[in-house]
Amino acid sequence: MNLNTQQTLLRIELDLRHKPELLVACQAVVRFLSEHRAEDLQQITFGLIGRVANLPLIETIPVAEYLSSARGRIFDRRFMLIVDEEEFEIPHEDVAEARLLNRLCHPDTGEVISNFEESLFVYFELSDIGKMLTRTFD
Amino acid sequence: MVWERQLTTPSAQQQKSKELILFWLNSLRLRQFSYSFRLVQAQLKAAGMPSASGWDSLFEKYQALKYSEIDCTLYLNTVIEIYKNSLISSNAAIWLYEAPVESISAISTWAQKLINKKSVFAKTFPHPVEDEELNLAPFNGEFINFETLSNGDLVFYSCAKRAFRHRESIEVDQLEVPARKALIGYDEVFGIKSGFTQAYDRVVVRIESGLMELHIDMCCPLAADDLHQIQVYYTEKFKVFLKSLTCSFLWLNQSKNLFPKITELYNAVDGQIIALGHSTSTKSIKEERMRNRRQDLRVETFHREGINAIPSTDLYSIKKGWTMSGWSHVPAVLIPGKASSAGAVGSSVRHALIEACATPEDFEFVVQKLL
Repeated sequence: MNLNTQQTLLRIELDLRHKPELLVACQAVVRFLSEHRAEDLQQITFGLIGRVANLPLIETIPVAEYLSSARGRIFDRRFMLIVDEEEFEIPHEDVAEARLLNRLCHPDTGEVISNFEESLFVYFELSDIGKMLTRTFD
Repeated sequence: MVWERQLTTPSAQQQKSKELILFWLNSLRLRQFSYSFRLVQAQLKAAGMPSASGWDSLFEKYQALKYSEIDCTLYLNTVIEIYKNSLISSNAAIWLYEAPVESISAISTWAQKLINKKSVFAKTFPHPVEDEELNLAPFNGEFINFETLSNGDLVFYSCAKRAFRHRESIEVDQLEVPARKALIGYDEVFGIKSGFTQAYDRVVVRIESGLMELHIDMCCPLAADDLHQIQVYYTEKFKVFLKSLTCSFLWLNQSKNLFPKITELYNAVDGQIIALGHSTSTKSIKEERMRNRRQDLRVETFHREGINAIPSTDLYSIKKGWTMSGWSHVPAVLIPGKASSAGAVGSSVRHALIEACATPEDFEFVVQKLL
């Protein structure tokens, strides 16, 4: 376990000591990261977090929220639009604008997508800090 | 009067420019299924022109624009250029034919004979015809125009009517109360939209290389049978034309076999492998695909370790892309082989699908990868 990981575990402990279940789950995720290479963790889903932290899917949301928050800084949230088996990565600012206007356009046709929230897949990537926690040697 | 003309003429010109720009943009919108809006956005931005996240908001912006404060000529020329790109480099199914010199020369000399100026599509070309006219137009393509490119190559344009059907999700919340009541109990509601769209198919004759390319415009989803039918129609049309010129036409009976290109494309280090179909020596079929077309499957751990762990695998389909400089778009080619062809003697795939090309140069770049 590298120094970055140890420091991160300590920081999480300080932040979450009043929420023991969330603390255990977040620390489990950080330990998991330290065992894998960043190139193998390019898409982190709620499903992955659930398996690593041994939590049902619904309980992974606070874990993802903390790890992608200004305090956690380990994950960056990403959005993928999935329409008719086609997938498009949508930048944060476009999603923010779409939510404000309640309108998101299909990147290829340029036409409005109805019920766009249902077609948005949320996942996470490692932030630069998150990458420093991963395994760097074989 | 002179004074009045000085005052009114620029304003009239601006009004005319506005109408023309909106007219070309509207034609461009009708190309949305075979020419991505992202490519339109990128070219507008590159020219320093306003862009938007979708067609409706783009039209709102160009309606509200102060035409007295912009370079109308630049704007109009840019929109025309993008529209032209949408005709000549749209997503297309492509067949390649190696043609004898005398046939290429005859096509080049007698190109005009192929053109049917009486076609309903010829009246409005390069713009699409009105819906009423499209409903009455033929399904079979008619060559209505051709142009000679700067390198001497010829491009023949053929327009045709194509029928489409696509499914759209219906937002129940937006419906009137009686409709909402009638749909109680349904979690999701879909509608089927059907209609006709205008295709711009192309035949490109490469004078130097002696190659003839048939491009079927993917302006709506086309099944393999539909593609085959359209390809046969055009090759028969060219056979009749060449026969009338007493030229050899038997070379049109067989297009280039692209199956061997699947392995070549996989092994060539350039670009990114976006998708791959292969049949492993451990008796499994693998259909792999990267979720991001800028990433290369060949360096993805699951694929790399899997390939290293087994003695051998036979490739049967591939999609490969190349990230271009400038707008960082990724033109790509799909060779859609079937699993039954994997590792078999005499396997063939006669066409490929080329997509996401912004310009004719992009399209030719991808075609070159198939030669």
